[in-house]
Amino acid sequence: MGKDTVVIVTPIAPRAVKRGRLAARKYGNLNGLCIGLLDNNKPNADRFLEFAGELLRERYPNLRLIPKRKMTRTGADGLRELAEDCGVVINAFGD
Amino acid sequence: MALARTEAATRGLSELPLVELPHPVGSIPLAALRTVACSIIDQIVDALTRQSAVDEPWSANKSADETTERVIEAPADPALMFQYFVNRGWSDGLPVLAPTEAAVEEMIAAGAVARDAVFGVIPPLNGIATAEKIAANAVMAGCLPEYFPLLLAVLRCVVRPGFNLDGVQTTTGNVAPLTIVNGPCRQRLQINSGANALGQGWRANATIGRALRLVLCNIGGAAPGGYDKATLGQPAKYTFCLGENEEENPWEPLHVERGLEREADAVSAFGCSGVNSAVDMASQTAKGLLKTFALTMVGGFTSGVTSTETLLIVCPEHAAILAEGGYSKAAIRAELFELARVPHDKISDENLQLLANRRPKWFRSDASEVPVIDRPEDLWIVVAGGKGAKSAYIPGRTGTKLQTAVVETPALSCRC
Repeated sequence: MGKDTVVIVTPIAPRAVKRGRLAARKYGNLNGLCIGLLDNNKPNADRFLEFAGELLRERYPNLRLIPKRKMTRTGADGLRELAEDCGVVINAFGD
Repeated sequence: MALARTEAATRGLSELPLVELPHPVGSIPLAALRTVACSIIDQIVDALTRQSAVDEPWSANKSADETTERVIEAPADPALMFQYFVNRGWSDGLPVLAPTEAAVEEMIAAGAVARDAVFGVIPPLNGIATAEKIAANAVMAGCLPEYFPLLLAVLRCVVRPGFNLDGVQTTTGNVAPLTIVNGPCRQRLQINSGANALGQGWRANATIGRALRLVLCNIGGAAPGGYDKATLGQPAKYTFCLGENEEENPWEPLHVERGLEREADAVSAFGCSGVNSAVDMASQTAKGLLKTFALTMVGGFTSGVTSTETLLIVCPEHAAILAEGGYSKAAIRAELFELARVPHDKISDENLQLLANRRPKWFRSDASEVPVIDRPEDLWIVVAGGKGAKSAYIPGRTGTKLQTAVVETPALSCRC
């Protein structure tokens, strides 16, 4: 350490990193699937998912759509149902 | 998009498929929203059906412009050192003191904790808040070592799930964590609970609140304009700390209400938006005063939010009027729950629709108004301030609940 410098403890910290694994995306196309539409209660999220669902159904008429809403950041009723019944889920949105 | 990627990565899901929508989406007409949906539906299909992971998974560990070295050399000259910290985004914009190893060590010793003791993981970047790193930020903020146990107690509060620190850190709302101090430590540490308790001029109030902010930014990574998405922010994001004026409180103080002994040292953390002044120099009755408080609460009603916890800071003169009128805290809460209501016809059609989705029980067929709070118990009441007839109302942040912790103070010789 020179006289013009001082040793300091940095105020930033190492990060805790979780290691997870996504469920495999095993569907090459969406035809016939059940799709969850999870609305996180942000303004327009429900409407956006409605539009997305309509557009998907135009392409894949045999879709089944399950709309759900979660009212808080951490919890949502019906998540287990989504996990059990749905091939894929769209969650909207991080506005 | 960067925040979404980070949020996913900190949960171990760095490969979560994401699709970016052009901002804004929450406030645009439905026709425009449908156009947005049409424009990105191909990306959604691709995200749902893409078989393989992205070629190079994004990692929360990767950061080219940050060091996690434990110590570094910085300029000794105070002005140069300040600029050095500013350049690295380690300051709140105000000068900081050098977190030398000696100063940090003294801070840690005052807390009687191990250097590597972990007090939580701070979102959004999941920085590991060890005693040493918290102490470095406390030194920078100008804390005396005697404040350190209190700061650690605040950290214990904000990392609890009920505080929803993720939300507080990254919201577009103008949210800041308020620290409320109870117990004998207010005198010992010279924490202001009287005149100008939320104002300037008191080292303990100023530096404890500031240290928390630096911890949240430096350890948590919530840099303003980066992962801190506040649209406007507020001055309380620099520092926000006061003591409760227990000596002029006719009711039980906050920490006793929260189940602690009156003689315990305690802190409570509340994630909240700005201070709304409740000025009433005329009312001489509790009934009159509560009408004023209700008006202030209605004025602080933010359309589109879900019901939150809220805080009323009652000045001693107002508290005396309420107590002389026979009002307990429970009676105040019950009356303000009834009085602080917004008629539906005062709310825009779009917000009415939003509120009807979020708080449907206030939109049944015979309903004509929305209460500011869903339940009387969603209003916290503390007494603070000096002479004058100026109280304050502070709305809380959605999904955030007030948290309280004991300040575990080792035997110390106080230098303040």
